Amino acid sequence: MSEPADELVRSCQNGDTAAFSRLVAETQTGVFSLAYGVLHDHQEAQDMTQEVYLRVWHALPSFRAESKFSTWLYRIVVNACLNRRRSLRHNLAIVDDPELFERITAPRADPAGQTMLRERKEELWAAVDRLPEKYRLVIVLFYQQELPYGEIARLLSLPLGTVKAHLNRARQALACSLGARQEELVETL
Amino acid sequence: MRPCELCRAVLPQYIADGEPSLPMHEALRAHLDACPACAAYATRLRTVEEALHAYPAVPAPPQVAARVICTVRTPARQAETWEPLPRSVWAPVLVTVIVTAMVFLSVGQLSPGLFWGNLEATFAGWLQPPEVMSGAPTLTIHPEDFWAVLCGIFVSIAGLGFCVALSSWNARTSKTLGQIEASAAERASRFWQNVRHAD
Repeated sequence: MSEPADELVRSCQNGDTAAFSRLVAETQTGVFSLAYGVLHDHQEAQDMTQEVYLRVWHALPSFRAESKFSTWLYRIVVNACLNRRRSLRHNLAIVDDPELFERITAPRADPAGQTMLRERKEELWAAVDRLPEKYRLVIVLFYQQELPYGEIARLLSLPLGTVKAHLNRARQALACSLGARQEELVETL
Repeated sequence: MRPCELCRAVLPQYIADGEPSLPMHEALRAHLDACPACAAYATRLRTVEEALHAYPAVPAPPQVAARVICTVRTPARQAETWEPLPRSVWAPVLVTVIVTAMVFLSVGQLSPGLFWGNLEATFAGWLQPPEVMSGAPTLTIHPEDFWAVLCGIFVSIAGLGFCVALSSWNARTSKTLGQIEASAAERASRFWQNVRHAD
């Protein structure tokens, strides 16, 4: 997510709903992706995105720009989603939205040589969805939202070393899942 | 730790950070050249890294933004609910009123004439039936009656204002007053600390 302009944020703080509409348009993909990354439910992520933006609208006057707006926004999203997830008591399915999954894996017109590589990537993305929450969250923040290590650490109130350790364990787990998949293919052939 | 285990422990960070060419990684690179299993593992990690960098964001459904903006643009209706005053409000007010009344009455009893003279005599004068006089009616206002009426009007207006103010009490006001109270307590504490340091 690109950082919204300071002027846009200030207009929103002054109650400009048109500016807030632009702010939502600029940031909603990042917010929804993060909510989906934590909640793993399309409808829950949609509800949470709406709730987060309403909270942001009411809390904007108290935003003092001591941190970046995106960091402030992500903190609200992460806290709200983790609270929601706790209240749901892990009743959510791991992957519950076949339509979304089809959209991600929809075939595109590309050279035949690229197909295998794309399939492998899609398998890895599916494997990310099956990771435990703490690993999935840092993967989403680091790779999808492109936040640096330090910002993720501040956002999740974790030591920097823990963030790096979570990322490394997630990478190792994904590499192992890729290895297992390759072995399965060799056995099948 | 065996070389392969050590290699696999540091490889994810090594590959994610762009495989920096530092002297400390010379041994790692040498091991990767010599060990096919670790080299294959490094290849898998590179595939993982590439896939993760392309991890797609999930697009938000279009109705999300529309609903948010619609809700934001709808003016919030002021809730007009009359709620009973909490005990934390009416109890101190009641006690204050009673104590104030007792103080005034006792002062009036102990030193007649200090505020409005002898209270009992004043009330007794009010309760007496008016004398029907044969001549033209004359109105005589004693100083104690004047002050009693004035104080009565003052107390009535103040009480009325106080009641109106309290009737608009709600959770937000309560919170605001709580913050004022906390702020005052903090200032008093700081003042006291400064006084102690000054001593």
